[in-house]
Amino acid sequence: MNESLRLYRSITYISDEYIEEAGYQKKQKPFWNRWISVAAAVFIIAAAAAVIHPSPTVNENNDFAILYNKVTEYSPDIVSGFCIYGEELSEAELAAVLPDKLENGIKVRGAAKGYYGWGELVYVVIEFQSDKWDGMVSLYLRDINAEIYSDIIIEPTKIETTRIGDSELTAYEYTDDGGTMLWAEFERDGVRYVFDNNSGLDIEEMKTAMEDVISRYADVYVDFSIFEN
Amino acid sequence: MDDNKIIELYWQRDESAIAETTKKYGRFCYSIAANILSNSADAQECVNDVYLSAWNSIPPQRPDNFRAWLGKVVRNTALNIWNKNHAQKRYSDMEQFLAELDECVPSTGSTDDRLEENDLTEFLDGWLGSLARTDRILFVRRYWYGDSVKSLAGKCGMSANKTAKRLYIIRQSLKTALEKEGYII
Repeated sequence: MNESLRLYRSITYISDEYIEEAGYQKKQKPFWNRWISVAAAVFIIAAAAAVIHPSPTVNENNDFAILYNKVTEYSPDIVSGFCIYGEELSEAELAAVLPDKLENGIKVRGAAKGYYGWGELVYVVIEFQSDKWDGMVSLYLRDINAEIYSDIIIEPTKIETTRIGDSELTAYEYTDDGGTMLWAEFERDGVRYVFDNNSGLDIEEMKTAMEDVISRYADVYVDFSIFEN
Repeated sequence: MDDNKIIELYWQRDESAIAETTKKYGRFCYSIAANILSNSADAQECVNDVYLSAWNSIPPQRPDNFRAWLGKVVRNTALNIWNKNHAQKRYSDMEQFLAELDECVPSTGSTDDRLEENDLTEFLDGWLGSLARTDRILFVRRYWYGDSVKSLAGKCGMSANKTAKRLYIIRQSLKTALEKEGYII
């Protein structure tokens, strides 16, 4: 016990840099901005909840918003579920991600950034909608250097790969208690692009939707530094 | 109020320095103390002692990072209270921290290799720097801020069970790093 106490006491004097890094402090906003954020986020959640998987859960500890508690991390062999604190993307941030791309029948239904409780940005998510797909597709843009903890692991039931332009895209189909989930992903320039099927599309429909999105949003790119405070 | 202005108030021996410190960092200080002492009255006593320490230490000190400096004083003060009282009182959170950190203590090494406290902190800084950012944050939140596993799980979006497992892996990594260098604590 003396040794562990010694260790505990030594931890007291670790570098200020590490103490600050872990010292999440909630961003302060004027209350009207905050309510606008809440309203917008609630809209996103409500829109998502109407067509997505099972009902999203709300973390009571978060004043802003929550995206989903499920289906957010992707890799060839796992699905991970975890809670992410969500916050509406500002118009400027959205414009930085999608400059002059809001056209030709595809609508951006909502956009948000997701981060861990200590403020680390995990990803940006944009929800696209088009009459052509009869539903909605989410595009997650994630810095591949950001480590994301996984919690739920499910083997995919179906995998398909396809090429869209220069990108090799892999589609995964998963089934769990919440029904069938489908997404596809590729990586480019340090960003992982993940399409999440939010409205019951099958793989063929998903590929069509993704082709449509990618062809129109070919140069979508996230410079994650724009989100640094 | 800006930290530099608060520190300036201390230097001017203006008692509003303590009120401003309480206003800005009271909750922060209390949470660290309460996480160690698991007792509201002791935690409040600890925080009051911290304000007195700040008053007595500034000047001559002028902390570069007031928040981190205060946090370190809180931890030290809380540990002193724990040391003084733990024979009579049960501090379950602190006992849990120590039990967990006990897993990091290497079983090998000689007394010649015992690290001085300063060297141990330096070693910890180096080891923390080698961790992935999320692991480093988890470790610091748990063993510096004293967050509960449940609270940490909420912050990183994992189950409590998974968070505990992750922390175990991180502690094992510290133990391995200490053993690799042949150190004992």
